Amino acid sequence: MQQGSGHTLKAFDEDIERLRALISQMGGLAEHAISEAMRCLVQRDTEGALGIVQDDKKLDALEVETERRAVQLIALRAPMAGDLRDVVAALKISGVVERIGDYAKNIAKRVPLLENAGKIEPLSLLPEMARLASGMVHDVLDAFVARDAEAALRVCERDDAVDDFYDSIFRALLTHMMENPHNIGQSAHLLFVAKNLERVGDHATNIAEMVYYAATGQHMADRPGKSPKL
Amino acid sequence: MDMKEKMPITPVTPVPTPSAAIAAEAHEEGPSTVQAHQPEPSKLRSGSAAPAIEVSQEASAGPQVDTGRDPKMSANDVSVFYGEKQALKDVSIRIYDDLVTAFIGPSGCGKSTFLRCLNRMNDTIPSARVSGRIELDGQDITSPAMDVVQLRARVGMVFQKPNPFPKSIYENVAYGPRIHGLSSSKSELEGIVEKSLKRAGLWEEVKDRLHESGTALSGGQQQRLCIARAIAVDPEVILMDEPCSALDPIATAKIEELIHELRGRYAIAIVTHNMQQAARVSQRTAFFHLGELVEYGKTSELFTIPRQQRTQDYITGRYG
Amino acid sequence: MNSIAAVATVTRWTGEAMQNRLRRRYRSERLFKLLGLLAVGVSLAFLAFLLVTMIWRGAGGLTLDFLKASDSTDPAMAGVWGALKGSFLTIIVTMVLAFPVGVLSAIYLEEFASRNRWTDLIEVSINNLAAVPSIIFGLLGLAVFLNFMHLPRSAALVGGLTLALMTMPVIVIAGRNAITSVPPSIREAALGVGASKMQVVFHHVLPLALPGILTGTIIGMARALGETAPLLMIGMRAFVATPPGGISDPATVLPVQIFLWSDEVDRGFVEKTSAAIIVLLLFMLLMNGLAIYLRNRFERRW
Repeated sequence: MQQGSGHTLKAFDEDIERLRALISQMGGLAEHAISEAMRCLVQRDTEGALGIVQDDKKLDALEVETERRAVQLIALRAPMAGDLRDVVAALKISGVVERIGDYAKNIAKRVPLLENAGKIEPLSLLPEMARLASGMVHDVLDAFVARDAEAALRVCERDDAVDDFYDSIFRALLTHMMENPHNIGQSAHLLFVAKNLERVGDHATNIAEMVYYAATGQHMADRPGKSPKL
Repeated sequence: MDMKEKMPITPVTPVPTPSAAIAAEAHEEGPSTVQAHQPEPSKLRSGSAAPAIEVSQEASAGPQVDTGRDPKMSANDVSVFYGEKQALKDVSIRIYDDLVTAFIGPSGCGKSTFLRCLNRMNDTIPSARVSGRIELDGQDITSPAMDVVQLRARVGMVFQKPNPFPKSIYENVAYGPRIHGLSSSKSELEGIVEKSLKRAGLWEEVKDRLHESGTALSGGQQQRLCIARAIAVDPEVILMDEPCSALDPIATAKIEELIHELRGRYAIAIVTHNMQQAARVSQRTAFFHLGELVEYGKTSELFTIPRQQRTQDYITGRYG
Repeated sequence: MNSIAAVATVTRWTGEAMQNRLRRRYRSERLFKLLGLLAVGVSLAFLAFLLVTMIWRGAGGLTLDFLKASDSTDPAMAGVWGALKGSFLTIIVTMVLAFPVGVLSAIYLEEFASRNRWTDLIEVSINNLAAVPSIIFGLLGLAVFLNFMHLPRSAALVGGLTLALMTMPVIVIAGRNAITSVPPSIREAALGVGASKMQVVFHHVLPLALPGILTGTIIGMARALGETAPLLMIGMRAFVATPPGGISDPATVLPVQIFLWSDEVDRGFVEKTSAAIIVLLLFMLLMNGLAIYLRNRFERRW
């Protein structure tokens, strides 16, 4: 269903656009946090990591603001149909994006803990995984802006790649740990980092489902996918 | 090291909280197989939670859903012409017992015209011509077997501007039963008047002044008096043509609550300009546009996932 | 708003030009009020003149004997009782015939008849009838009631019939207006409850239209009371010494009596004429008052 022409009340259009702009802004911040966190991890940049942790507060503030605007919109404009689904989707997506930011913060927090570690082989796999995950976030938010249900569906399909990455990194880290008990500490951290990135991918698919619902009013059918592994 | 593992967010309809609105929704929702072409709601991500919710809703569901039910009134390909101008084009719709059906649409779309077809009030307009078939309990309302006076007693009407007779409150309510011979004694008639005024929620306010003129009441009271008057002849269907448009918000709320109470006894059809009112008060909504019936369905669905672009445009305020 | 614009706005409303305009408006309003008062005054002046003249001339003749006695050739003995009784009987006949026929016609034409060329023609005809000079009705009465039907000449019956023909169109017109002015919402409300057409008309429309109908009746009755020409045509010009016993006895009416007396040569009748005029005016006032009382009593607010 198209949104068609604008509302007779122009202010209504403005309110909705401002809400959606907030979501885009949050998305940009979250994406940036993920890529920055990965860079700091690879380059052992403790200063940068601290910066990411601080910046997460901005994301939290935006979420509060989004919630406030959404509630106001519902109370004052009594949105119906597509508009209502848009607002509810925006509300929920803001919460998910804030959680994605939290994962990036979590990754950044581990950077100081790996400062003194030496070279870790499996580490080289992580940047690619991060690129995939943050790419999913980027694309799903583009789909949100465009109200494109098809694009949202395509994002969901990429989660399998992220899951596969997780599986490989898991095995590689296990092997690394078994080679040398000294490595267990660092590897454990990296394991959690990988897990966080995998969760980011899952959250991106959650957002995709919300975008799909807002656009069509239907729920996404179950994706044909691999059986869940560990 | 925070390891907050939050539950995945799923677009599940919220678990019913004990609020009136949700309870009402659960009360009338049943298995959602209303129209054949509506796609089945797909299985949700967090598999187990959803069916449990649906089961509980089903268990508390009240009236049955529409398929397999006989409609109280049905219209088939009804068209109305005022002289040369066509006001309604081939409207087909069903009105069910125990449900409030709302007709919405912009000005001049034909919703009031259609409402007036249901009790043949359009007969009073010389230039009006009605074609198509309208049935009450399966019987054609234009057939000789159905007396129009009787029809109008069985299908009552409440108008936009409250129009009590310029008689006493008692007389207003007693007039209908009297002319139809519904009571055999004065005390019986008084009983009918009291019952009707009680059902209309007006008894407490007027029981001590039944002899006063009906036109001396406030707007909201007058409208409830008109509703009592319609109820007094024991109708099966009540038609309401924008009953609250001349009333203030408090009077409107009282009437809406009254409609909710009356729903169990009568089939109600209400024409309204106010979409929020249609959303609050009805279980089925029909959207009219330029004399056509554009969309008809459950109120909860029409206002959240309308199927027609025109409906979406109208209810989101993108019309015109 | 900056101060310059503010000042401009203030001067627009308080400046010289606006003040002049306002003064002119009030002046023309006062002038109009004065003219209206003058118009009322002029008409009242004529009426007052008539009343004063009549009272001055005739008050002396308003004795009980005058009221009790019938007409006679001797001015000292003449009285209005006969004429009064004749007028009364004639009016009764007129009302009994014109009111039901007029009201029922109005109801039928307004509520039941379909709108087509024929009903339009009828409406035009009735409107025209109301404007026909009364003497034509007199000729009609002469031709139909006296020459064709051979009813007793100069009887209150014939006078009543003739006046009824004259009054009926007035009642029909007033009735139709009154019925049209009943708001359609009342009709719809009654129909909505399941009332039949007859019930709507007689239980709801008619009671609300009654004040208007009675007003029309008052107008018609006032006209009939004062009619002279048609009654002259049907023969109520003869000298009638005994008051009429019933509607078929020869009678005369008050206006005709006044006319006859005013024709008399004898000076003694001047006072009688004036006295009779006063009586006629009082009679009319009484009947109008009664009708207005009845109308007010039936008036309902809707």
